Amino acid sequence: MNGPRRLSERLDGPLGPLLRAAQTDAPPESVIAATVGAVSALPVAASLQMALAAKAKAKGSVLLLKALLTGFAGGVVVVGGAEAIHYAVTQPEHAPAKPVSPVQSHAKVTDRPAAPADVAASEAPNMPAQPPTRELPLPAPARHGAAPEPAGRGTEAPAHAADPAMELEVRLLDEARGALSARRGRDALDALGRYAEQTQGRRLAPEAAYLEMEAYVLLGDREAAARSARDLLARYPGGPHVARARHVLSMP
Amino acid sequence: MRAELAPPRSHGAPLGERDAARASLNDERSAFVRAHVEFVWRALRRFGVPEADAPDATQQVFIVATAELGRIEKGRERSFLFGTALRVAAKVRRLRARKPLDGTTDPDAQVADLPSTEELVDQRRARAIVDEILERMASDLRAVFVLYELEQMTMAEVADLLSLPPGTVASRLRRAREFFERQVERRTTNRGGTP
Repeated sequence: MNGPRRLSERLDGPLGPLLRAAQTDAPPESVIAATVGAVSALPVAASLQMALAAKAKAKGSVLLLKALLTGFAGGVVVVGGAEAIHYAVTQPEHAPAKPVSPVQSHAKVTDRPAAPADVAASEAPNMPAQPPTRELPLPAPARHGAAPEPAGRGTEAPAHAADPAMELEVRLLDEARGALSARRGRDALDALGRYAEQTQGRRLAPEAAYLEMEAYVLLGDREAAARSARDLLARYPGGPHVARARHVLSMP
Repeated sequence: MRAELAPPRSHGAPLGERDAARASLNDERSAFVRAHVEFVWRALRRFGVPEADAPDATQQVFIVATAELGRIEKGRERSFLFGTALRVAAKVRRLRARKPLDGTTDPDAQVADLPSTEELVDQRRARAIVDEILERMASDLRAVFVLYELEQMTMAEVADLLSLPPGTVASRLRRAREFFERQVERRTTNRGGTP
């Protein structure tokens, strides 16, 4: 069954040009790359994942080693499952480690959580203009999507101690994290809103994005949580929170 | 002493068992995305996803598909992706509180004039016209029209992808083409007959 001659093949009139324009519609390479990054960050197949997890558990130090490898202030543990990450956020004893080698990102934190921005919008309409990301007097930060820094950096002196801007970021995110631990989702969002308004550069923006997502999960706002998860995956596809973001997106 | 776990990947570092498996999986996933991303993008756009939302929606489709990759029958990837794209598009539209996709839009409502042939060189504007017309088309007709006219699938491929009888595909395509031609003609008439 070959079907009729396609309308796009017409040379007379506007039908042909109209449909040929639609035929050539394609996403920009940045969208393709971001999509590749997003799916690459998905967990491996369950059977392989379980096999690897069983092997890693036998070693005994995998959790600590992974916490040091993540390189984020939250000390988030990536054990291939969302539950471990959620545990690390909600348990007070997993207080955030000092931030090391934050992922360099020029992405802005999403709009103030009380009025979350559309996930497709990269700009927060209510936020003042922000200066470009500043270079840090720290060890070379990991490039976007690159592997986390190796173990050992977490034992250095707090890098933000001499950096007031970083200290502010850490303090505000600690506040958000503490609110989450106490099951106070709104307070966490308030702290993240202040983070968005008061900080510049936002070197810990990936962590803030993750905490925002968790706050919405805590509040039961599934749509907002899903938006935050998609935004996190789009902006930081190589980050340590992708497994949790995937889990949030898969929640009914 | 070599760590039991492979060190974080970096350029030139040896790959451990997990990293090798992961690299292979990522290559497979990357190839899957690149093979179908344009198809998914166009499906989303032609089913009403605004350009601003299309990147996010595209990721959603592939996230779902990647999670199901092992269960999708070989050769049915496009069918799965198309169905997922339609669901994601419907969800995006619901979130934006736009008109439903069931063709309830009044096809006789005031339409924008068709630009001249020269103006149609502006691809973006042309696509906007196509999308406006498709917006008024019933979704069952739109699916057949998009797959046949825009994706240039054969009738048999369309029937297979949509799991429809060939006769149903032919019937819907005929009605869809008639609708599309009528809409274009109306817009051309509004311009005084000049193309």
